[in-house]
Order: sequence, then structure tokens, then C-alpha cells
Amino acid sequence: MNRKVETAIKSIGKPLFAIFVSLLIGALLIIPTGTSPLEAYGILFMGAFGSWQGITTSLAYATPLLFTGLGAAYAFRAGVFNIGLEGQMYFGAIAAALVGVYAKALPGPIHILLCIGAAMLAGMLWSIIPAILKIRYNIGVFITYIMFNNIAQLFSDYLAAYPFKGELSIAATYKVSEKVFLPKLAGEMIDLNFGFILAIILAVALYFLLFKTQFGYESRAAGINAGFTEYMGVNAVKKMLIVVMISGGIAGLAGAEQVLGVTHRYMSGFSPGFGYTGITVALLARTNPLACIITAIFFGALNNGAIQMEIFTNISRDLVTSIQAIMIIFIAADFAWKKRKTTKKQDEQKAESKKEVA
Amino acid sequence: MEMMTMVLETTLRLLPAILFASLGGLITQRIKLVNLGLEGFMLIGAFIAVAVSYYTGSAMIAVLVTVLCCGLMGLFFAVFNLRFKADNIVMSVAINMFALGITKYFMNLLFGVRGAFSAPEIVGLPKLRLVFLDGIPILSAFSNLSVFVYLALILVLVTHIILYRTKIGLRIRATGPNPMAVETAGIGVYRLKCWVVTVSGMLCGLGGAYLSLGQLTMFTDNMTNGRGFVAMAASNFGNAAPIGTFWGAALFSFSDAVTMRAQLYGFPPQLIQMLPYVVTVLTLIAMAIVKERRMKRGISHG
Repeated sequence: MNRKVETAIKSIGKPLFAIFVSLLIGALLIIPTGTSPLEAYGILFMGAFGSWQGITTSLAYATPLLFTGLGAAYAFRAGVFNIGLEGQMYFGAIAAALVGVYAKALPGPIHILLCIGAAMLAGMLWSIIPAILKIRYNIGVFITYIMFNNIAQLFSDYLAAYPFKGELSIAATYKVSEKVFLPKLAGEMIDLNFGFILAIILAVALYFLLFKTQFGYESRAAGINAGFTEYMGVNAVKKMLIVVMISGGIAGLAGAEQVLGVTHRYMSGFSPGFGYTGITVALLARTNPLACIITAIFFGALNNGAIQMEIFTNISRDLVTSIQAIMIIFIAADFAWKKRKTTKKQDEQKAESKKEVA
Repeated sequence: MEMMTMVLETTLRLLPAILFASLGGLITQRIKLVNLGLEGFMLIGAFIAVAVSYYTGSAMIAVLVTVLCCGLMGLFFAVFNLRFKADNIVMSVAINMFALGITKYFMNLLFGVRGAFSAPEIVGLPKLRLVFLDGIPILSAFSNLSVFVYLALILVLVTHIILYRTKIGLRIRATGPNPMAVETAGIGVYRLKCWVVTVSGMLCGLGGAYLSLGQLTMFTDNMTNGRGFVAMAASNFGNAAPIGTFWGAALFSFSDAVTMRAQLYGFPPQLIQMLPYVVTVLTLIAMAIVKERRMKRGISHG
């Protein structure tokens, strides 16, 4: 037990260090605005957690991030760097919106399931193409996923601006049927909806899938065995496709949650980069699905608080994006002072990594 | 004919941004340290160039400062990747995200605006006016281009010569496939790699500076808009060789130019803006198929 606690502290230590350093650098960036960093962070914190409204809004911001974070975490664990979540989410959103608008004749429960299913399917399809290109032609997924993100966003906007344009003057579909609205959890004014609970359930389910099942063990083994794609057998190919599909399906859910729970229609530019922030959520959680719940709420709060900070001070909310990026860098980096520690600790670390593999 | 001249001129005007960055991508590909932060370096470069030009009134100083800053960021990237073992793809994601946030933040902080910043005080890059080409079909496309268009073309040749005709080029080419051999020859691979990534950052800085001071004289949010990734695709297209990469960059600039012209004819803008990304993916697939065929033929003949 003692050892478990020690491991936990160690694995929490690094993310905390990254958060600390990035907030420190953020403070340096705040100084030239003339506002004191402490005051700015105070307003940010109070905006995010200082009231019931603040807390529930933070959770509402956290919901899409938890979905995309889980999609990213699962894929990273299994060794696939799915950074196409943004595009998969966009197609999920437009699919959910179209089914929600145009399949009105269906009874409520079936209709809502169909919306969600369509979103997942759209996300899966869009995630699997770059994976196939990688397997068949050895084209690196990084560039294709980024291109696919741009294509998905533009194509969804096109669908909402031309063939399926709604009554608004912007690129947006009609409102989805009220039957498929996800129930709100904190009153009509706040975006927090049933999707948040779904995301939490999904996080727990993914944790069990990854750490308590044979399938999860194999996924993680594939992730640890870096470079395996070069010598992939049929089995490994199948597994990579399944991993990518699950990850893309979850990203599609993020889009469905936004459409069915928040905007109630597909709206151009509904995402301020949920897919990309999801990558940060997953990395800060060290790709542990349960830890993703905490990091997603943390980033949701950060984004919510940043808007309050922007209102009450002269500091732009974009500061938070930079802070998140710095966090990733310090999470990814392995500083040398760690290696200079005594050999005893190195042995412990080795034992730990062995345990992780086993 | 006039249409062709116009498309050619637009292609040439769009070319440098992608070409500079793709040369930056090419040299990092050579040392097997794939730098996908090109996009972020370019975006930050574009911002620094506009800001310095605004304050100093000199495009020259702006370019110098930009190149210096982007070089430092390249060095930072290299040190974090090589010394501190930060995964280069994760680093790239972080740098691109950082660039997006920090440029917006400083645009708001320094100039108090959101979205876009332009001012008469921003001095753009000089143009090379070739009056004698006016009115000649096709060639008149060259009559009023930024000097950076020519600089980019010259740098392609310079990179080619350095890579294939100099000792340093030989070392760079050897470092990718065989770092141990280079190390055994008594050359510090770590330092060499750091230099290469620093230069790659500088090239991205040139690309960014051209984007905001040559192609336009303003800065807008996310103005690189995927050009860094397209540049990487161009380098893939050219198999990390300068001349091939030039053709890749030219192809992508051409598809961009056609896109811009097509927009004038009332096609849905979203579909048109999609085109360059679709072309990039299709080109990557086509290249892979060609490569595969070649390899198969090689095997059957050998």
C-alpha cells in the first residue's frame, strides 16, 4: 500500500510541477499588462470556482474536453497519435445535427440514440482513413490528421451553409428536434447537461477496459512497443484500426454533446479547439482515463475563469492557451536532474516500469 | 493567356512562405528529427515581423529580429527534444498551440485589437520592379514581385549545394541514416542536430516574415492556416531533396492560386478552401503509390 501511495505521488508530482512552471511563466506574461498576476489568477480562480454558477459553468466547459481527452488518452495508450480529434468531432457534430433535424418522425429514445450513433460513426469513419493510409502506404498520420481536421471543419461548414442551411444568417443547420435535447443539469441558463455524466461513465468504463481486461492489456502492450507499426502483422493492423475507431468514435461523441446539449444545432466554429485541448487533457493526465476527469475539469475551469479574467481585467483569455502549451512541454520533457539522483531511486524506477509492463 | 499569367503571378506570390518553411522541414527530415512545429514557428515569425516593423519602421530589422527569434525557438526545440527527451510530435503540438495563443495574446496586449492588426506604420518588404517585362505574356508575372520570391529560389539552390557539395552537407546527410558513424568520425552529432534545427527555425522565420510583410502587410489570427504542415508535405513530396521539395512547394502554391481565383467565380467558399488540403492528401497518396511501384520494379529487375 505504502508503495502504491509513493508511486501515486511520483506520478502526480510531474504534472503538478508542469502546472506550477506554466502558471509562473503565465505570471511573467501578465506583468506587462499592469495587472498583478496574483490578482489576475485570483479573479480567474473565483470565476471558475467562486460560485455555484461558476462551478457548473466550469463543468460545462469541461464536458467536451473530457470526451476529446478520453479519445486522445485511449489512442495514445495504444500507441496511435490521433491528433485528428478536432475533425472527427466536427463530423460527429454535423452528423448528430442532421439526424436530429431530419429524422423527426422517430420516437424520442430511438431518435436520440440514432443521433449519438450517427455522431460516433462519423467520427470513426473520419479517424480510420488516415490509419488505413498509414498501414497501406506508410504515410505519417500527423500531416494527414491535420489536413483531415481542416477538411472536416470546412466540409461541415459547407453542409450547414448550403444544402442543409437553417433559418439563421450564419452557417448553421435548423434546430434539432426538442426530443433529442440532452437534459440540463443546472438550470436552463447553464450549459451543463447530461453529457457530463455520460463522459464520467465513459471515463470509468475506459479505465476498466484498459486496465482490467485482456483487450486493454494488448492495447497498452502495443503502445509500449514503440515502432511496432513497421512490422505489423494482420493482427496488429486490426488492433490499430480498432483503437483508432474507438478514439474517433469518442471524439464524435464530443460533437454530439455540443449539438444535443449546448447549441442544439450545428453552428460554424462551435469549437474553440476542443480536439486540440483534448490532447493536453490526455497528456497532463498521463493518458490515464480517470485522471482525465480531473485534468478536463481543470482545463474547463481554466477556460471559464479566463473569460471572467478577460472581463474584469485587461488580460486576454488567449493567455490560457499559451499556458496550456507550456504545460505540455514540461510534461513531455524529462529533466536531467532526475537522472542524477541516487542509484537506489533508479532501481525503484526500473522496478516500477517493469510493474507497469507486467 | 492573361488568365495563365495571373495564376502564375499568384503562384509566385504564394510560393515563398511555403518554400522557406519546406526547406526548414527538409533539413530536419535529413537528421531524422521531424520538426512539425514549422507551423508555430512561422506564425510567431509572422507576428514578430509585423510588430518589429511597426515599431522600428524598418523591414530589414524586422526580418533580422524574426530570423534570430525563430532560430532561438528552433534551438529550444532541439534541446528539449534531444537533451530532455521530449517527444518531438508532442513538442510540435505544444509549439503550434503556443504560437496560436501567444500571438493572439500579444496582439491584444501591444495593439489592443483582436483578429487582425494592420497599420500604415508597418513597412512591408521591398519589391523588385522589372518594368521591361510589363505587357509581355507570362513573363509579366515576374514584373512586380517581392525580393523574397527570388531569395527563396536562391535558397533552394544554396541548400542543394550545401547538402551535396560541402562537408557539412555530407555530415547532415549521414546523420539521419547513420548517426553512430558520424559520431565515430569525431563529429558532435548533438551539436550538429541543434544547428540544423536552429537553421530550420530561421527558415520558418523567413517564411513567416514573408507572409505578414511580403504577401500582406498585416497580421491576422492563425494566418499561417496550415501552411507549415503543407510545407512538411512538400518536403515529403521531394523526398527531402531541395529541388524536389521546390516542385512540391510549387505544386501546393499553384493549387492555392487556383483556389484563390476560383473563389472569384462564386463557388461555395468552404469547398474551395478545402481544395489545398485535399490536394495535399492526394499528393501524399500518389507519391506513396509511385514509390511503391518503383520499389517493386527495382526488386523484380534486381
